Amino acid sequence: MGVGKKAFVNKIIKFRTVVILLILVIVFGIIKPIFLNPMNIMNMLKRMSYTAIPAFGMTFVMVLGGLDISTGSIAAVIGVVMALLLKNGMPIFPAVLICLAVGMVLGLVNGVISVKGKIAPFLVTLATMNIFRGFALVLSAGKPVSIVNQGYINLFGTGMLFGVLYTPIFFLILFFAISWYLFTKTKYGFYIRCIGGNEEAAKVSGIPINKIKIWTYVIMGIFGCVTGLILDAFMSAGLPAIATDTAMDAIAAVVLGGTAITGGIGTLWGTLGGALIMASLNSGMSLLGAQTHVQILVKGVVIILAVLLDNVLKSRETI
Amino acid sequence: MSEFVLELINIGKTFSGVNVLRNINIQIREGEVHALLGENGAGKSTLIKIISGYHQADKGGQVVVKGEVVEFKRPKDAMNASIHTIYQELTLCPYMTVAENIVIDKQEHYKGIKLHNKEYRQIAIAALQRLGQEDINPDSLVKELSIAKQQMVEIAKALSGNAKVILMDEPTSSISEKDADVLLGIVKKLKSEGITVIYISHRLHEIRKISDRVTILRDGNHICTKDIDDITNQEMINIMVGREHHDIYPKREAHIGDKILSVQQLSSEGTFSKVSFDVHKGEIFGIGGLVGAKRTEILEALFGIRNISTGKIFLRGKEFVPGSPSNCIKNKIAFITEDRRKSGLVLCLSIVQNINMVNTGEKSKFGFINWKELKEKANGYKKMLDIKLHNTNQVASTLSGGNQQKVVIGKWLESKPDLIFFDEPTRGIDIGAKTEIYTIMNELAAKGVAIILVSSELPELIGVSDRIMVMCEGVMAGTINYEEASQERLMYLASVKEPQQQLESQEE
Repeated sequence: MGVGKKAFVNKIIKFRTVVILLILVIVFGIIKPIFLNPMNIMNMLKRMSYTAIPAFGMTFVMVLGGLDISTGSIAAVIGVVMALLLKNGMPIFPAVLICLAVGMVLGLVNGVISVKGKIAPFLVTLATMNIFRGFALVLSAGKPVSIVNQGYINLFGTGMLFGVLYTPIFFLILFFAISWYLFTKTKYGFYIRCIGGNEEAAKVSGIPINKIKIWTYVIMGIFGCVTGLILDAFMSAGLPAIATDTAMDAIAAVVLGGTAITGGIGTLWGTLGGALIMASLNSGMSLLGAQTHVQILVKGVVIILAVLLDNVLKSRETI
Repeated sequence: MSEFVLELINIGKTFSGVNVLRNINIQIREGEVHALLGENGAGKSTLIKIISGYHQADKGGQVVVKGEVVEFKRPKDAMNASIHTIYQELTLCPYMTVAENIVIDKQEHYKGIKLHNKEYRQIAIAALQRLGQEDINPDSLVKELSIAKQQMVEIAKALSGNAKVILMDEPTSSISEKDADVLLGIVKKLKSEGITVIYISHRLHEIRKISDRVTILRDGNHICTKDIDDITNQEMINIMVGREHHDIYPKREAHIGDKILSVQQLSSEGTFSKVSFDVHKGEIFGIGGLVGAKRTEILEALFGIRNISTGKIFLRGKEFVPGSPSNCIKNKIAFITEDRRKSGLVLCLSIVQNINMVNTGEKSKFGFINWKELKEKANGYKKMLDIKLHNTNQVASTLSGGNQQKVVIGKWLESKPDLIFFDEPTRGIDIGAKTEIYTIMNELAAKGVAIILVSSELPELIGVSDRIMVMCEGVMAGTINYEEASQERLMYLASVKEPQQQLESQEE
């Protein structure tokens, strides 16, 4: 392979997420020009927020070499707790603080059991996924808890910032910025990549592996919490059975963004791209009149194709 | 028909540019026990793996079985030619029964849907009986057996596969003396049945007991093949180590200062016992021994990765409990580990990131890292250690072995240690890079840093160290000053367990 061609292939590998996203946007844009309408894009981003925000957290977890499939259940618990607090007349600000604390505690449970009990995170979160979900159902007696506080619904769902930006999109950008900063500029983010890349080397280098792991699940808990808060506003209710796909969609977005399932490698830009791919697919197919069932099917196929493409490109990279 | 059951003609092997075997020509007679001897890294295991079809020889080499040129593409091909191998790391399935393991490579016994349990049980029982191992229950799980018994199962598996040639790679390295005697008996028995055995071992007394002929390899070269009666132990050792003292070891004047580390009667249960030594500022203290002598384990214990059962450590005059790597790093100890890929580097991260992995906390403000500043540091090490790279943002996996090792050294120098452990620092890197690493070590020692060097290469130990402690199977076999050190003396200490030591280790 010539040097120029090799460099070109390597560029495509690096920006594969962008390439896939561009293809989708162009295809949908040609077939259904309304896809590129600013209103449609705004709506798409708004709905994307509750997949992308947990996906940012999931990037930390997966680069660390872990996994958390309980995120959706955490979001459901938070949704119910928030709705109950509002229903009992608590002001928004302290209620949000309490929810954040609950989210952190649930994440802490995942982290501590996995690290101290030396149990694979998949198994721990498989169990807590059920436990937390049950918790949400018990708290709400299995019924939706409605939210009438319009201030809250504006703040997390339908409100506009500067008259143009939906608040969920604002939170999407805010959490992306925070995650990106944490991941690339801090000791904590660096340690995550060290541990995921080579735990043995990290251990010998004196990196506090257990502490970092537990913290990562706590942070995941916070992201799950924010997801729950946004969903509450969208639904005007705390729904105990909501967000069953959240963890899986987040994992899909992270994988589409090029994060290695084995840990160590990954970027937040990639995850953002992965989430955008999934959002474009959903939006584009809805515009084409595809049923939800078909959308789910296509989503699965796209994940497989993206990962296959990843493998093919990576094997060429080594030439 | 040839008189040789197996002939190796002009066998060579290159792994990613490193030539590990050159021009090997060996002829194995039918029914003999042929010993393969050589230091660590002489190429014995690679040769075995070529014969058994695990690796393929470079172009130009030929494997000839009973006069016919063969090409083994995979282990199964060698087995079909009646050549079976008992690897150092056993290859049984621990959660399957003995009988299942014995027939696992004989697919004719479970063709179709139905498992012919009774049939294959019979095969297993017959094979075990042939070895005189009737006490092994064919229905027990392999994981319940001792290593020695598992080896017997491996041999039974080979026999029931109609083996005519059996290769054994250091079979006695992980079993007790008593079991080793049983194994040697089995080898003799196999020989009496006309089976050819190729036997790899470091232990000269074993080789003398059972072999007819011996082939000695050194640095990937075939040095000689002789009848065992025509060669003395001393001669074997001389041939094995007989390397010239190359000029690859830069000269230096040692300025040995105060005692920095004192290890007293240190033991770690099940690995090593009662190890005592002192290390001084400016000194390079070598630890030698064969594979399995538990050298790395001592360093691990000193660095808080391995449990210490008894004994004391004094660091700069004060009693010191290693505890954890981070505590050791705080106490200015660095550990350049044996396998840079496994525990030295994070291969998917950049050189800047790898070099700044230790003590990142001290270099960040409120947890925030200034990568620009750290890049400057990495560039400093690039210059100081002459690391060949395009850009310090390059991913570590893209560097050559020698340069990767320099990154690991840079990473540990960045923690400003005054006691550094070098565990096999030059394994798998070329001569030029080796000399550079010795120079770095000498410069560090000249600055008053104390160094502990663990190495399997005797010339390296002698060429670099001021004093050398030799370990043999978890106990100290002796400590020698640089002036008195010779490869022969070290090899003797490392390979011949003296009766006195044996008594001591049995008392434990």
